[in-house]
Amino acid sequence: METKSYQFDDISKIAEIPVILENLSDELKLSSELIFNINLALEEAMVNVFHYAYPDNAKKEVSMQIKLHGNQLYFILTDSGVEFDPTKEGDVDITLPAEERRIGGLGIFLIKNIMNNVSYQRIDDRNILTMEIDV
Amino acid sequence: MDIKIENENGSMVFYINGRVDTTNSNELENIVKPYLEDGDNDIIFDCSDLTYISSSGLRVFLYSFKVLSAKKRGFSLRNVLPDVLSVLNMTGFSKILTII
Repeated sequence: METKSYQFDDISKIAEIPVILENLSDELKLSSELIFNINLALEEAMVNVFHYAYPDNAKKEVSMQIKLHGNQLYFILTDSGVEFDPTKEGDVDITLPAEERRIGGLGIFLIKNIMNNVSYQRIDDRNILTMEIDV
Repeated sequence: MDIKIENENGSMVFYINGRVDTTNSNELENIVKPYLEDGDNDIIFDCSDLTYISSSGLRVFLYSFKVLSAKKRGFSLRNVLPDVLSVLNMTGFSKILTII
């Protein structure tokens, strides 16, 4: 599979993720469960960037590359927002009763649960989040 | 996402059709909110046609549960599809929420 690149310049563009994954699925024959989970992880990662990486009135942008190496699919998100390493966020406690449950932190928790590996780099004032999953 | 609301034997049933994500979870919240604040009905989210949910949608589920349980009103999810159920399991929400 050739490397694919996409640009997202607004949070509303996450609506394009299902279409991108549908095409990927046609090419790689991925299960609908896998597509669902990848969609969820990508949405949560992009929401984090659009909500937290940029000041309110700044131009917001995330790029995504999709690569296949062997049976590993790599999703690489790059943004030029403030330095933020989501992999360092503490895990949410999913055993707490409803009254004590918070929604914050659930996004990165889902990403870590779905993906086989999640790593972060800060290079040239950019955040680079690499997510890998077996296909 | 489309929502259809029906009164079923005194329970308000919300049929959630489609995807609930960051772009439309506020819409779901705004539709449900008046029913949480007023009335004394139990509320059921029928998820037969809920094909996708992200944490923003889970937030609306949790919010609904909290408001209703404070008022001693019932809240349950029914006919949850396997992929959505797996997210509820992954996040521990299946232990908090009533799933029928």
